[in-house]
Amino acid sequence: MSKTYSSQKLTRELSKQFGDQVRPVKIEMKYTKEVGAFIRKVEEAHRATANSKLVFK
Amino acid sequence: MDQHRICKAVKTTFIDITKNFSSFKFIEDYFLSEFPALHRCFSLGRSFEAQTLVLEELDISGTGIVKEENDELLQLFPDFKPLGLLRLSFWRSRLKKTSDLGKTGTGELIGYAIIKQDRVPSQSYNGWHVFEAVFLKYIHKHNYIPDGVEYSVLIGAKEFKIPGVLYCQQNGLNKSCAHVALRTLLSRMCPTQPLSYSIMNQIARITYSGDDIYMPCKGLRVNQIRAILDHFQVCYHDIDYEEAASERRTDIPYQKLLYPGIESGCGGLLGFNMSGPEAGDSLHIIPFFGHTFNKDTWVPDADAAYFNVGWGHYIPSESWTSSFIGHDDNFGPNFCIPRLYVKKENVCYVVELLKPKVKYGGMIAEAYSLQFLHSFLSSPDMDHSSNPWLLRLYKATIHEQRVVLRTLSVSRETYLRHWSEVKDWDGNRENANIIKSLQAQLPETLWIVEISLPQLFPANERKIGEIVMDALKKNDSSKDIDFNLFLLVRLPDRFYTIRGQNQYGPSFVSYPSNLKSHVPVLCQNR
Repeated sequence: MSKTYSSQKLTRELSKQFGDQVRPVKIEMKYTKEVGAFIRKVEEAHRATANSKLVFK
Repeated sequence: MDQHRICKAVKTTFIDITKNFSSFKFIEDYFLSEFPALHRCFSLGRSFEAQTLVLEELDISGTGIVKEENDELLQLFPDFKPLGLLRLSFWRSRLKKTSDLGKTGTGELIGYAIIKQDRVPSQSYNGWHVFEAVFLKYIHKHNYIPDGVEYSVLIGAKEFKIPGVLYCQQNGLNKSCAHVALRTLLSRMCPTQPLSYSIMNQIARITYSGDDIYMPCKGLRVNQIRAILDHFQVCYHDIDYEEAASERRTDIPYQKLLYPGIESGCGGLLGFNMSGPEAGDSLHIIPFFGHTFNKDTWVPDADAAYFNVGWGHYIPSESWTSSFIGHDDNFGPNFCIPRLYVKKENVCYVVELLKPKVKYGGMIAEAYSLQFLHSFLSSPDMDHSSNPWLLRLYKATIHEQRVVLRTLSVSRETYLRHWSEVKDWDGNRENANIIKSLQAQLPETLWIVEISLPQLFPANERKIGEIVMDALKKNDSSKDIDFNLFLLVRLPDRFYTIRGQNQYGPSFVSYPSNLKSHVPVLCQNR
């Protein structure tokens, strides 16, 4: 299923401005698994905070 | 909500606090006890060379939220009695009588403090505390407190305005360190809302999960802190390190949550164990809202300077932050606490406050941005030789892993105004039509991750480009990379957006930019 990204709205608007100055760029996404794993660690730590027993006096 | 600051005085005294005045003697004689937080207020006055202290006695029953506090104290402790209420203000100029205030500009006011004396015999309590205080910050360009708020205060018969960050002291009766820390930060995030402790305690009471009756003097639990933030519709990202996996103190150091919160003008909370032989089990929490920046900080070629997001290293811009600026409710306002002074093993809880409706924290924006940057710069379609700054960025990021990233959330208007105003080193400005066409397409709030180099960022406060992300969308962590958060990358000569999707993922396009080299970093109101 084709997905429309938020950035594509910018592309549509900017393409009207730039016409033939727009250039396609091939970008291969690197380290996707590693950064995904890191971000999931951050989110998991935030979720675990729901079990907090800390009290600040 | 300013009623308690703009009530008229019953009696006003003008005190010359130049040469022969001793604040030590004054505090000892007047308050008959140690009062470190007030000493701090006098020290701040001295640092601005204050000449006059105006001491106003107010009606002890109080008005506005001071009266609310007294009502709450009476409910909690039927033997409560208010004994004193003073408003102290510190002035640059020499003032002798009330009519002098009428001729004095608001710029002469250095700071004010409202202090209360309360007695609760059943609690063996009889003492003064600082209900609130606001003081100017030090005038130094590297003393950075973004997105300031102004407070109105009546002195004599005239209303003055003072910019600063509200300081409040706990009293161990109806407010603990957590209550006052929250009031400091909420007063910046929700300046028009009444921020009484009785409202906080109502919320805390509803969410209290203990077997006994909730008493404010017992402090606030994390779920109560969260409930109060939720009530005021303040977004946040927090971590309890005691509940998280043990290595999170290293993987996700607390500075990585505090710093983007501060840079974004929202601030953060830090909860920690006190260290030392008399500390016991008590946990303390304090608010942070600014930082000092030392451009000459030695950031060595060592692992200590890098941050690792699991695969790639970079240098976070907070490496040049020497201290965080915060209040300590026991000791007073506007302290600089060295960035690494609170050791990670003592930190148990950190909260990054976020701008309204922002759905994820700065660390996530930064991790995504490093990955985008690596991917872009590694592309064979990127001709690094076409621009010397692009080549330098390529070497720093890919070969040396010494790119500097600085992360902050800003409004769309702030970012577009910044982009339209900056000039590169040759004086070029961006094409105004680009800015205009993006106005309607960008979301209200953005994460901006600025890209720089170690020799460019600290001394010159300039950057090579930035990655812009949608801060109002929730990160979809079922995917490794949520490309829906990505909006654009701006690098020297060109900027990039997503055109569509192919079988490998998103496809990108680029456009020419007028900015060919480095530009100033984005600074929010100081």
